[in-house]
Amino acid sequence: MAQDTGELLAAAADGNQAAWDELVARYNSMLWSIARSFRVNTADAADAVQTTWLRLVENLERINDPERLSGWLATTVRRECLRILRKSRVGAPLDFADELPDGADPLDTALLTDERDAALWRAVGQISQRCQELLRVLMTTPPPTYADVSAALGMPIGSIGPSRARCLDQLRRVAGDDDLLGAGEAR
Amino acid sequence: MTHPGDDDLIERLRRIAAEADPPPGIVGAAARAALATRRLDDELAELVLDSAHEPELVRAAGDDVRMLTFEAGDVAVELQVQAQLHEAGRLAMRGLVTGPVAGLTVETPGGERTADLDADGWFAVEDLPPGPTRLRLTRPDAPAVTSAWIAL
Repeated sequence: MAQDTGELLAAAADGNQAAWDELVARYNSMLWSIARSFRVNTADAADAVQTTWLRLVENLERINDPERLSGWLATTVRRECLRILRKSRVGAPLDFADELPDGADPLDTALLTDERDAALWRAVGQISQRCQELLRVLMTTPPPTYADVSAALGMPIGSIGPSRARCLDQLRRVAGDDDLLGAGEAR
Repeated sequence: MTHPGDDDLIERLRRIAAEADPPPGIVGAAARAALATRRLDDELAELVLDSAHEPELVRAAGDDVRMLTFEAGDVAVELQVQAQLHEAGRLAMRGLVTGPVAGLTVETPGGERTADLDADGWFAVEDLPPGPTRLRLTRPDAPAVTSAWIAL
């Protein structure tokens, strides 16, 4: 049974680990996707996501409106990513690129065995940044509610459907090959 | 115009994303473990200044130094963080504490380090790992103050 976000937050604030784990299960993939849509590497994305959860723990009693949780989480992780990007742009020595186990591009296709999947995944990297961000949030697991998408991206619920259609059209144009898309969708 | 295949395409992308770029297991484990870092009895010191979000301050201080200020009531701590000179990937921190503070520890999700405060409230800690970090300041006659988490 799906528990209400407000109940989970209240239970987690009482120290209930199972409720906290459920919040993590619900939103961790979304946070990861947002971080990776900034093209930060895996270590930086991991730092940004972990910092976001730690910030939520210290603010558990202060989230008054559970509806806005996904927006709060998304804003926090985005802010961390922007800081990371700024840091690497100025070329400050806080740059551990050499030390990282993996600077993998979020759109690396090495793990994909299906050629058509790989081609589609590369096409995702060529659509507009705004569309990438929307699609990456929409494609997280478990599927987010439109209310969560709205809060996470700061867009009105009513515009998500039309934007989704527009971004998928863009993706189809970039991917180009009707067979490629058709083949995947028919499965 | 909504395309009839839109829902299928999103589901296909969901499957590909889960295969190509899932959150690493360690990220989920760290998220679940975060609940244990709660400090119910401490006062939270909020971040009131971060040069990483204010580029003009970075230029003033030099690109390689990050300046942070936390405040809670009569306690404040100003930090300067930079990469360690001869050890890649490690950080050095120096700071100034003002207010009635008895002791200071630097915490990461994996551990903590105690720092000595001199008579004027200065402290220095070296060889810190990058990543989420916070400070805890004990006070003689009041609850301890814990800073907000900040990714260094």
